[in-house]
Amino acid sequence: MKIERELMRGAGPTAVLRLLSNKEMYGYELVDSLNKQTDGVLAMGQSTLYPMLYNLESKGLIEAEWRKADSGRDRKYYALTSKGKKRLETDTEAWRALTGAMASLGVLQTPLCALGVNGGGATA
Amino acid sequence: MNDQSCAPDTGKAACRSGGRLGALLHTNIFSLRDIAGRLLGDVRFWPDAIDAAGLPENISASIHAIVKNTRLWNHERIDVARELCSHAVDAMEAGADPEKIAAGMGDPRVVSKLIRRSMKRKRHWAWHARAWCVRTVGGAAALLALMIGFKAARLYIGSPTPTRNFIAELNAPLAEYGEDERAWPLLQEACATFGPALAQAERAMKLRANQFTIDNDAPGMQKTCGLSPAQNSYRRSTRRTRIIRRFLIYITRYSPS
Repeated sequence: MKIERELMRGAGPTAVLRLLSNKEMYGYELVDSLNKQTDGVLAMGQSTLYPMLYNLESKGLIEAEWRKADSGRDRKYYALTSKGKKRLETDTEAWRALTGAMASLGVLQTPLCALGVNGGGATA
Repeated sequence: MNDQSCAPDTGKAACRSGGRLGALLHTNIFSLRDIAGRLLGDVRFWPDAIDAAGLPENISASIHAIVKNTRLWNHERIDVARELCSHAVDAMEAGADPEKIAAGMGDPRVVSKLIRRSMKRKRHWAWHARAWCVRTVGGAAALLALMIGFKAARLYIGSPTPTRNFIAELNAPLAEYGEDERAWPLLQEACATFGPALAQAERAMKLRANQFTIDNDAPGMQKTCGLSPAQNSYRRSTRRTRIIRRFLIYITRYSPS
């Protein structure tokens, strides 16, 4: 399923912040995780991911660092900052309210708890 | 930043279109980091970062096109190039098809634009302040030039279109009087008649006042109409002399040549 650009613009940063809240990740790992964990719904290419990461970095929500991986190659790892954690909490609340509102309108047929998003964020 | 990131140089044939000179020319001179790098000899151009990754030619070409179009500073381009190369290498290691990876890069112009915009947001606040100043001053100068140009064009190309004839309005009351009732012909006639007598009166005044030096051949005389340098003497002259004097000036100024 392909998500509309505007929807993706709203969901993408929150999804990335959520993934980075678990551990530090590099670009390809983020793309792969988003693709696998959302069954391709929030799959994004490099053209979407990297500008988004740079934007989040400019806002101080994430920080990047070049580091040597186990393979010996350098990779740029992204980590969540304290500001990013706060933003993730705010965004999670907003998404919860939004999905609740959509459920009350009958747009979402399945209860949220059945989707497995009990306080988990937007990536379930 | 450590620039020794990518694999050994294996694909230098690819991505030659920009080259070192192109990279140098496209590097913004306000990046002190790049200047310092050049001065210290630690020069590394962004095409080298792509070449050093040893990627297949189609992927290298895509990355090269994207990074070239970003028009960022050299060290920023290196950062973007390294990251995109790293992504491609990771994808290849995961078993992705190089064709698909290259296609997944998207339209280089669109991607470059997005990356450029987001990378510029990361720059220091001083750079943003300078950019705003340049934009404001430039915009004001352009607006001023436009206004001046418009006015100049209007001045040199356009022609006046008066909607009110002031001369006709001023002359309208005079038209009520007949030719024989107008004063100016009488004054002209008086000038012709009494001219020699006035000249004699002038000579008499010279002798009497003894300070006036009315020299009709003197430079500037036509403009000053006899208002000689001896204005103090003029002040001391009698009332009669002053009246004659004024009349002389009037005649000199307005009599037909």
